[in-house]
Parts: sequence; structure tokens; C-alpha cells
Amino acid sequence: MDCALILLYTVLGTVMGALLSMIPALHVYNICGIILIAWYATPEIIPMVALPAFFMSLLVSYSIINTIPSMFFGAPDESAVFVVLPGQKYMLQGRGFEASILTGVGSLAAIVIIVLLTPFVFYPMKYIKNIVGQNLAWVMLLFITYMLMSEWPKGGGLGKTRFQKFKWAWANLIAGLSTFALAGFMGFIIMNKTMVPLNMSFQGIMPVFVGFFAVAGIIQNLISKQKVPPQHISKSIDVDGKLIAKSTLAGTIGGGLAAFIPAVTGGIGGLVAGHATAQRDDRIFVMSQGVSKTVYYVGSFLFFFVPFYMLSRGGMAILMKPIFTPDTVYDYYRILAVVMISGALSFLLMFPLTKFAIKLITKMDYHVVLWIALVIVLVIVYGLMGWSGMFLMTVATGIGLIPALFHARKSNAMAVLLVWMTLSMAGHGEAVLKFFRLY
Amino acid sequence: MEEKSERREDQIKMDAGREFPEEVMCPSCGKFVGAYEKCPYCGTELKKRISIVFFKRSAIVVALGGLFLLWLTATHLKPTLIKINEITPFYNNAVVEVEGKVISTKMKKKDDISFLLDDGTAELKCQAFRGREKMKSTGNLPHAGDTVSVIGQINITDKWGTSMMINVPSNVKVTPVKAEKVKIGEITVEDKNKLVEVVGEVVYVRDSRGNKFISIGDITGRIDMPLWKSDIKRVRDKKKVEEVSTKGNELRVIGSIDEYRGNPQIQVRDIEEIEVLKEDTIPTRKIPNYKGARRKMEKVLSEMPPALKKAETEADEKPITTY
Repeated sequence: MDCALILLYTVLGTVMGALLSMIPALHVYNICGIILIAWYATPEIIPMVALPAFFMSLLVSYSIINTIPSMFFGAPDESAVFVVLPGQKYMLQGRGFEASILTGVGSLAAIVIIVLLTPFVFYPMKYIKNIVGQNLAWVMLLFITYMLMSEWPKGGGLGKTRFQKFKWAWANLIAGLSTFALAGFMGFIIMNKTMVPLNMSFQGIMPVFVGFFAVAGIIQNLISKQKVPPQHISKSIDVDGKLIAKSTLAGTIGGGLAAFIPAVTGGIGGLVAGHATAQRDDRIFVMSQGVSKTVYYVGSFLFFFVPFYMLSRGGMAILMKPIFTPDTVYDYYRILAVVMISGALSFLLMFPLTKFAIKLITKMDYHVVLWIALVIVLVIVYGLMGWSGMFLMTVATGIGLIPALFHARKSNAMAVLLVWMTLSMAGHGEAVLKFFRLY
Repeated sequence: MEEKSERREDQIKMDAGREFPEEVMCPSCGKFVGAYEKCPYCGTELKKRISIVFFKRSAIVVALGGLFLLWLTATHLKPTLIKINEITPFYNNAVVEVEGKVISTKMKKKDDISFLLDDGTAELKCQAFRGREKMKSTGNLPHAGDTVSVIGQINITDKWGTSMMINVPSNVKVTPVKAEKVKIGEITVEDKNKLVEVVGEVVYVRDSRGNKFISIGDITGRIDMPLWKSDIKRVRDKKKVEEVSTKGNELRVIGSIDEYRGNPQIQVRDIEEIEVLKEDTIPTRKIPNYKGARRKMEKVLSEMPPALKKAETEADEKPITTY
């Protein structure tokens, strides 16, 4: 009976996740927060035994299907940024369908890798965790250093005068560093003061992320006046086993790092992986970002189910921690089965949904879709958080627009979590708060 | 010029039926440039687009101005004071203030502390992984019985329940409970959990597996004062431990009364708080051996036949008659 329930809610979660993922700017963590609120009010809607499976299937389908609105309607979350840039190239060439399926293949490969890495997660991982756990602050500092240092070198020097050349060369570099600094400062404030209603604290950071990535991304797409060319629905994709292997390796490194290190998300992991493996082929890049995204989202939640250490990484684990504790190793195997079923279903759903998206953008102006998404997001933020949430979202939008409009990396906005967590783990959080008079 | 406009037309034709506004096309090479103000392909400066300039400036103003307002609000915002029983699963990650009495404290590692707080509505475990020394140096180290106001982040898990994480140790404010100065002989098992201050001389010391079983006494009586291995390990000044466990030294001790096998004993609040007195005010020979005498008496009484025991107790109760 339990197995039947779990299967039912896996399929339900996959379908629901797939459909909701098609709405640009709507993040799976926002959806899960709303579902949790409904579940607390009426726990009968999802039985406890099927709750983890339902949320995992939502997550799996989001990680796979979300590429579609990212590619055709804009980039709603920072992990999608790297999919979009080369993916947009494909889209502008009329090969958006191919790019979408390429990321889907990458996501499917990620599911296989996740299953194959199970023995590694159970055995060597606990030793790695013990070593890294004590030095997490240094590891995160390493990521911060990498993010900032990789802003250099930037191309530039266009202009007639020296000042123009200097301005051209430094504009987006300063934009990237400023985004990091402003987001980091915002993180000090929101991580130490509850600026949203107390009964919404469990999603307290939601308006900030919505502002950084969703609203800023929508505005960026609205003003770019990009036109989508007619898309060709191909019957095959140009990949081979070697390509899949290379992209899986790159994506697993990036997504794995993002899944394990706190506050390091898919976009940052993808950046590291891209540089580490130095892949030149656009197909490898597009596919590896699909791998990275799925490994990050699914892997971070999967760690929660390893009974020895129950790592809570990623928003989903933090949402689930108050209501569920995995007891035995069978919880892990059960959720692994959910991942596989949901992954396969989501990949199959990718085909009709991509075709639907292509039809939609050819039949109607996709800016209308963006406006609808913007309204939905504003309603959600205001409905859950009120004016305080709207204020946070507005400030975050301002910060999120800086990298969007000055052509810097949006992943620098992750400083909102990274900087505070690093300083706090290193024991210097209080000194910084004292300096800014925040306690 | 003609070449350039031809190139531009070709570009437009190449875009297969798409029509782009003039402002997003480079007038020189005819390529799509989107939001750029300078063509990334040929470097031509584009006619400034009002919407882009407006959004760029607005973004900077909103980001800087909004952040300043946010900071200003945050500096004046006090965390909400709540009752522990008000906490729901939605309060996870909320930064709040709680006030209550400390039931017990635990200090495991070098600089951490956790304590159980009761505000009259429920109990809440508060913990700080860092900052115990800081709390101590500011006189805000909580002990059992103290009234505490603490600001921290609510952390709710299914496995460990609800707890509060103290990220900023300075946010712990302690109103210490006053220890009652008593003579050792006045302490009974009815005083359990009471916080007392006593002065006594070390009369007995026994080491057992890292624990120290010490007895201190004054002229009114003597009492056990065990020092546990985990507490001894945390003491930084090892000389203090030696002094406290040296026979003949006089100590001022603050601790709570506990009971063991029917006898009262003192659970020391903090070993580092024990004061080794320089002056010898207690005459050693006058410290009674009450504990030993009581045990012997109890043993004799337990071995007496019941009738004799009854006669003995009746004799004790009978008033003394003088003739």
C-alpha cells in the first residue's frame, strides 16, 4: 500500500512539477513553500509516507523541465544562466528544440550518475565530510576568491580616448564586484534580522532570491526586445557517447560541489566545472549544465536521506527538516527509486512541453508570458510576505539588475548567503555585525 | 555608407522574417546588439536607448538607496519577544528574543555552551557553538537558576525538535540568581535545586577515573562536592583544580544542592568560580565527622531488634523529668 502511494505521488509530483516549471520566474522552492503551508493546514492531502517522494519528484522535474522557459522565455534562476547563454545561441539559430533536448539528455545522465555514486556517498563521503566539515569556512572562502578572481581578465579597450577604453574595460568588472558587495551586505541584514512576518520566516529569503533572479531576469528580457526566430523541431540530436561522457564529467564536478558546499549553488558550481574542464564545444557546455543542474538540485536533497549524516543542503532539505527524519538506509533507496522514475518521466515530458513552448512563442508575443509571470511572482511575494517582502524584493531587484544590465555574472548575487555563512563559520560574524550596528 | 546600409539590409534579410527595432541593431555592421550601448562586434557606439539608460540608473539608485533604507530599518529593528509555546514550524529560521529561567547548562567542547530555558510556557534548548568565553568575560555566562534574555535563530528539525541557535554571543543577557549564603550544617535534602554559597575546608579527596570526590566542611557540618571529569577538562587553569582538591584549603563555593543516597551534596556551578581563600578561618579540629557518625548510627539501628528500637525511640521522645 505504501509503495502504491509513493508511486502515485511520485507521478503526481512529476506532472505537477513539470507544468509549474513551465512558468518562467517561478522557482521550485517557492512552490514547495506554498504546498507546505497548505499541507500544515490539511495534512491529509499528502500522506506522510509519500511526502518526501512528492517533493523529490517536484525537484527532479523542475531541474529537468525548467530549462525550457529559461531558454525560450528568459532565465528565472541563477543556475539557468549558463544554460541560457549558449542555449540562446541555439535558439537564435532556430535550434532551440535541440538545445532543450540536449540539456534533457544531460539531466538523464545526471540521474544515472547519482545512482552509480551511491556507494561513494555511503562510504568515502563520511570521511570527506569529517575533514571538510571542520574547514568549511576555508572552502567557502576559496569559492568566493575564485568567483571574484575569475572576473578578471575581461576583454575591453574599445573607445577613442583612454578614459573610454578604461571605462569599457572596467564597467562590467566593477558591476560584478559591486553586485557581490551589495548582495553580501544585504545578506548580513536579512540573515540576522527577520524582516518578513514571523510566520513566514521559513521562507524568509524567498523575496530576496525572487528579486535577484526572477524579477531582474524578467525585466532584462522585457527590455532586451529579443525576437525569437522560427524554431525547427529536429528528429535527432547531434551527440555521441564521448560527448555525453565529457559533459557528464564536467557537470558532475560542478553540480557535486554545489550540492555539498553550503551556499554554493548550481550556477557557481557550473562556473567552476566549466573552467575546470575547459570544454569548448557548445554541445558539451549545454549538456554539462543540464547535468550540473540536476546533480545540484537532486544531489543536495539526496544527501538528506543518507541516514549517517543527514546533510541539509539546498532549500528543499531545509524545508523538509522540521517534518521528516530518514530512519534507515531503505529511506535512501526508496527516494533513489523516486529519482529514477521521476527523472525518466520528466525526460519524456520534455518533448511535448518543448514543442508546446515553441508553439506558444510563435503564436503569441512571449513578452506577454513574461508579464503574466511577473504578476504571478508579485502576487506570491505580496500574498505570503506582505509589504516587507515586497520591499526586500524591490531592493534585491535593483541589485539583480546591475549584473543583468552591465553584463556581469548573476551568480555574484549568491554572496547574500556565501559571505555571511563564511564569516559566521570562521567566527567573525559578530565583529562584522558590530561594525555595521546590526545587533 | 552604401555598403553599410546594404550590409544592414542583408542582415535583416538573414534574420528570416524577424523585424527588430532599429535601436537594437548596430547601424554599422547590422548585427543584433540587444541591450548593449556599444556594439560588441565592431565597437560602434549606439544611439542611447532611453529604456536601457533609465533601467541602469534606476537599478543603481534602487540598489544603493534601498539597501541604505534596509540597513537603517534593520539597525532600529528589535527582534520580536515571543513565548516559547508560540513557536510553530513556520518560525524556522526566525530571529527572535526569548526570556526565561535557565534549568540546566551543558558545556561539551572548548568554547560551546547549551542551556535549557523555561519561560513558564515551555522549554527551549539554546546553544552557541562559539562564545562561551566571550559570555564569561562579559559576565553573561548563564547558569542554572539565572534569568536570561537571549536573541537567536529558531531551528526546527523533526529529529532534534525546536532549538535556538545563538549566532551572536553578545545577545545573551543574564540576570544572575543570588546564591544564598548558608552554613554547611544547615543544608538538607529539602534544599534540592537551591543555589547556595558556602565556605568550607577540604577534608576529603578521592580520585576515581578522572572524577574528584571532595568533601568540604565547616564547624556546623560537612558536605560532598563532586567534580566531574568533563567539567575538570574544561578548566583552563589546571592549578585551580589542584588547589581546589588540596586538603586543608579553604574554599568559597557556589553551587546548587543535589541529593545522592539520601544525603545532600553540592553540584558546583563552575569550577573556575571556586575561590580559594587565603585566610584560614575554619579550625580543622572542630569540623565534625557527621557523615561517618550518621552512617554508623544508621547501621546500628538497622541491626537492632524491633522491640529494642521502639524502646530506644520512645525513650528519646519522653520528656526529661527533673526531680
